[in-house]
Amino acid sequence: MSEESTVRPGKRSRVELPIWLLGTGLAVGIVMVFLLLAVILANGVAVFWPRDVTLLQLREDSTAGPGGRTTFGAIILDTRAVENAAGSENELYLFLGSADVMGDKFHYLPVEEVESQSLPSTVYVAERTSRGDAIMEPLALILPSGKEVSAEAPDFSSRLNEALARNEGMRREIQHLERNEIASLNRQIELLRREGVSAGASPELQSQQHALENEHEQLARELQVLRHGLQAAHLRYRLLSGEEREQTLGEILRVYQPNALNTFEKLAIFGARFWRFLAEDPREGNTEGGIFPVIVGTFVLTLLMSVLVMPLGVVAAVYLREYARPGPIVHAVRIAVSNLAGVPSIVYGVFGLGFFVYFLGGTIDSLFFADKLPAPTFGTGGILWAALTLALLTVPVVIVATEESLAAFPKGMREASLACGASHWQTLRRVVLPASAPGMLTGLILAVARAAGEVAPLMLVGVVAFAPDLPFDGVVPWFHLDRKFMHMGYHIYSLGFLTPDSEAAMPMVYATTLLLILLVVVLNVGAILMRDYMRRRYTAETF
Amino acid sequence: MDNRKSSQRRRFEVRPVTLRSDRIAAVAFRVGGSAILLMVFGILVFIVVQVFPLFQGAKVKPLHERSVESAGYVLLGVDEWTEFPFLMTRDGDFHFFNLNDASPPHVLRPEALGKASPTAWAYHQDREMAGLALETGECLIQQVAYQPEFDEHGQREGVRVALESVASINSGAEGVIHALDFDQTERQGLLATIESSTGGIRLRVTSYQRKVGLLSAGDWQQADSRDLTLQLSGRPTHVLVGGHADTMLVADDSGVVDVFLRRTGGLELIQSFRPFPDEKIASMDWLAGRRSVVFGSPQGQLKLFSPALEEASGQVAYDLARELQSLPGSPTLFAASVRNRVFLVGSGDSVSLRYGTTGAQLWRDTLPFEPRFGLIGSRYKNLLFLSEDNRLRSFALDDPHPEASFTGFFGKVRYEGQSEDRYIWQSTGGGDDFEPKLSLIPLITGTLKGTLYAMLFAVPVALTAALYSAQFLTARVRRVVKPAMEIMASLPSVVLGFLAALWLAPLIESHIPSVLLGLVFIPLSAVMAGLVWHRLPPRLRDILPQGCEFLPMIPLVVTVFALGWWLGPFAEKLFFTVSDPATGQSVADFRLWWQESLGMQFEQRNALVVGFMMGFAVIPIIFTLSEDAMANVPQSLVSGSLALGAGRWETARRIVLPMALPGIFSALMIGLGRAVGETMIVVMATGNTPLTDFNLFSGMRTLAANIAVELPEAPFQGTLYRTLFLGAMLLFIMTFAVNTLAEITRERIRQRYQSTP
Repeated sequence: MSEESTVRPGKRSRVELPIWLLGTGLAVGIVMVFLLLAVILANGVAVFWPRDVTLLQLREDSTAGPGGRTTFGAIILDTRAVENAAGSENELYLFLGSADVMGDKFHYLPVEEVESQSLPSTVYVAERTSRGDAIMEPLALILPSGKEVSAEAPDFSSRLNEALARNEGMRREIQHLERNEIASLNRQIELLRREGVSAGASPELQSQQHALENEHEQLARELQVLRHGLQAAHLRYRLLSGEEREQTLGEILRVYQPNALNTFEKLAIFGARFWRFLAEDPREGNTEGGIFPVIVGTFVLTLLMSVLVMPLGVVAAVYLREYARPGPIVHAVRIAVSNLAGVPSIVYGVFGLGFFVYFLGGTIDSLFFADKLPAPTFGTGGILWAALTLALLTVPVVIVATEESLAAFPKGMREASLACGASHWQTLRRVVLPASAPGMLTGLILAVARAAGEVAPLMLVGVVAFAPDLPFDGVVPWFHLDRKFMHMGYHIYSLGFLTPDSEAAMPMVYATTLLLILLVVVLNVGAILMRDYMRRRYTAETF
Repeated sequence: MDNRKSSQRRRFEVRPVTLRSDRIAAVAFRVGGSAILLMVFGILVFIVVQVFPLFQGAKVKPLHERSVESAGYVLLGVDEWTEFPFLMTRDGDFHFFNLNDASPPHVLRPEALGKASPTAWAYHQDREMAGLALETGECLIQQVAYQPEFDEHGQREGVRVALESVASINSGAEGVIHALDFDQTERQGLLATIESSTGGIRLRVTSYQRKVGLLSAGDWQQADSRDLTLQLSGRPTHVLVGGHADTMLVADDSGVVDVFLRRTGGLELIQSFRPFPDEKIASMDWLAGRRSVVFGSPQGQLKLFSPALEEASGQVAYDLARELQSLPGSPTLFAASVRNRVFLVGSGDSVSLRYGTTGAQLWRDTLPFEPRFGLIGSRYKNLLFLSEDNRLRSFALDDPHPEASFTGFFGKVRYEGQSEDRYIWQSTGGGDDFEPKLSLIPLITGTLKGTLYAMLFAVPVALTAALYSAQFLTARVRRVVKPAMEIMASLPSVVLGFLAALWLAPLIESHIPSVLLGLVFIPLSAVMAGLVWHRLPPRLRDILPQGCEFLPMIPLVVTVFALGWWLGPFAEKLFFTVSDPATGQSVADFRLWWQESLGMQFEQRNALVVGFMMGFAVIPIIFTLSEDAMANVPQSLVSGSLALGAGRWETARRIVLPMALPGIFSALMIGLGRAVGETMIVVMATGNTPLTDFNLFSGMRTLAANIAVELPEAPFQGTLYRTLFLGAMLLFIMTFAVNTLAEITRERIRQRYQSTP
């Protein structure tokens, strides 16, 4: 006891070991967060960075190369240690491209097999519509006229890029025709057909149908011409392993020379690739191209959910806080609502499937879309049901946040408003609700962040791995709430786990993950900042 | 003047619009608000409504009734729709009745029968085949061909019936056959007969076969015929053939059952047993699939026997699977459903429907008549009886989920082909006679397993970090650290799952010793760091202000873990070496060691990976909530403690922790709730095998993951669909209860702080 009181000032004599243990807990937490973010960031960014192409020369008797080749070009993705019976050795993880020639896009190679490697500056990488990028040296461009432009010609590069740009334009036009014009025509024809079935064929209908069909043929011809144009020019090139190939230019999207680029040029390509990732449609079973429909799907779903959840949450919260008579029942309801936020999301998915899809959707189908049965219209998963399910899932979050901000509203201000003669509703509408808006917004942001990252319930109510038709387009009635949709979270799952070629899908998974994390983190940081802002504001304004 | 006065008055009057809008708003918010809340809580109601039919028994309602001529019928059969039953007379005439009217029967007679009368008969409802024995010893196998007729709208109008001869087998019997049974596959058949001749009662078995081409099948040819009486211990009374025409069960009058199995050399007696130790056998019948058999004793006892592979001998043997609830007397009625393992059994006018595997009694009634024959319709939608007063009575049977029962979901059940009672989840499988196995126990165990490992990892990290952050961090640092941890909470679980499965699992699969070393090294390093620090001269220590101990720990944690990673292979060589008995080579491989030495499974996607990644999801929740609880301990108490000379740690341990304990508890509960319901991480980072162990290096399947994996494929309102809803209901209730507990605890401490200023 006397020892306790003889602590000398200025000297921390006691060994406070537990504190170090506690500090370690915090350190571990921080390390984990940053490690995880670093892994995602590094892998995600690496997807877009144009990496150098290495010319690999193997030992002459080596059989470890792809298809027994001893000379070939590849992008070295990784070097990893592999354990085998003889101990551990290093292995190169290579991207070969040109699956049509090489057999596989990826290859593992023991380091010992490599005799020499170099970075030839003349090598091109061509992004192609299928079978992976080609690592090659161009030989000649064969123009539609049959004229050949040799790769040695001074204007080769500019002519090639010009031809590629022309193709790009044609591709856009094809897409526009298919997406808008033909889709709209198809719908009109379908409507006429159904009218014909229900009302009987009349000459007027038939002539309309003829006109539409003519138009359809016209468009089909236009498409044919455009597609033909894509096939007109050819490129002859040689892979670094020596095989010569000739390919129509329509199958090549763009080319670049990675080894000849400086950092800024690489940065430009990085930016362009990232942009295409955002703006383009997926290709090759989602493993190439962009994720535009995924982003749109996520966005529309979230927007729809916000539109649904906001009024629901705010009305319920205002009722609980302002109109319901306080007592044990309201108290119990309040606890129950906040507990609902902890109910697993899959349970909401189960409810969504049973109630919205099968019950509501089935009823709507039998009432309004009976002519299409047994093919379901609303009686199957779709973006509307997914949005409703997510709205239910997130409504407790909005209720709790709104209630909190209503409760935090200073009593003095409310009483001042009432004292000025304003009615309850006027006070609510003009004073309390505007002041609580940031709180509601916080709730909404949290709800959106949760919805953007939620996958499990969506799997039950309409998300799919590939849905090129966006939830809205130029075809009447513009918004198609019954459509299936793509979603970033599910995209990660389906790419990583359901794609047959999961190796090739890896870069896209990391890139999508990076984007999703960015989105969710930005939303959450927004919510946190908003919360802090609100707290400060109220402490300042309290009477 | 007057005008002014009134306007003066009006100035202080509330405008009617204001009042009206106030009233409208109040009504709107009341109605809307309560409607929304009701809707939200309607989720549970809806789920319960979906689950409810699982636990309802069968409903049986009378449908049609008609009288038949009393012509001494001996056999009852019916079409798929239970509309045109037939009765066979003792002479071998088949009378087809229309249940909808009282029209006279349509009579058919097997051509091969000629003028003779059958002496024994058997009818297989699943194949709609009848076997008839003649006095000559010949046995006719007849197909009762029901062909539905459709009108121009594709509606079923009626049924055309015909008798087609399938095979005619000479059993070689010398006496009069009085019992027979047969079974046949595409290529082979087996016929067993019991005859009474001058030499006594004999059992004879005839096998027959045919060649099957791509397009057509040949005629059935008799292969051989044998007398097996000598192998029996008594006189045969009942005989059953089944199991794809390779198993025969014979009951004799001493109460012994002999099991014969078809081997290359013919039928071989493999087992004899007594289903009832002191009683004879009154009835013996197959369940659907012709593998499991139900025995009845004269006293009304019922026992289900199933074949199972005995591990010791490697032999198939019949074994008691379940004792069933007894009947009031000797069974007089037995019919098995062809769709599932339900059977209809009765003694006198008391009949019941049972589910074989679980023994559940689905329906029981005392009929107002005495049934002579009974059948379960092939679609499991009807029951059909011929009563002793010569009336055919059909009943509508409504029992969509016979395989669902409390025992099936939560109890140990022995399924066909298994040698012991087990908890199994296997909802779909190949084959027509597949029986869904819907035990929720493996899923609940999996859920608890995932939660346990997640909490084991998350709780120490989260609580230590929270206490440190609440008590020792300076306010400025805390403002940065706390949001950083909160952002961790927002990492979508699909991202965590993807990283767990495709990044973490392959990474640590071959480095388990390294990971284990790292886990040991990190706390050790903290202790070491603390000890070293306190040996340093005070001057050096003052560089680092109090509350920043975690800063040097960050690089230290990384270094120490890297050290463990590097040392792992050496530890593996030291402790986890297995020698291969075949080659004598010894390999240092933890995976092998785990399997060889401990006999436990090792999977790449295991509970360690799931626990770690689920920890990511749970840590920030526990951290934030318990940190709040600790930071909210009244500052006066903390200051008081410090002022009295207690150290920082003493204050934290003696004052802050006890005060914040309820809050910490509530944080743990909410974290637990999150771990229980976590779906995507488990779906992705485990093999989703429903196991019932707590092995750290095997996978699992949780309730939530099970729903995500199976519900998209489950047929609407089928048993699986409703069972998955039951799983969802369990999850809902579990998490809701845990969260409510947490919330109530939090309420308590809030009140406590208010009362102790």
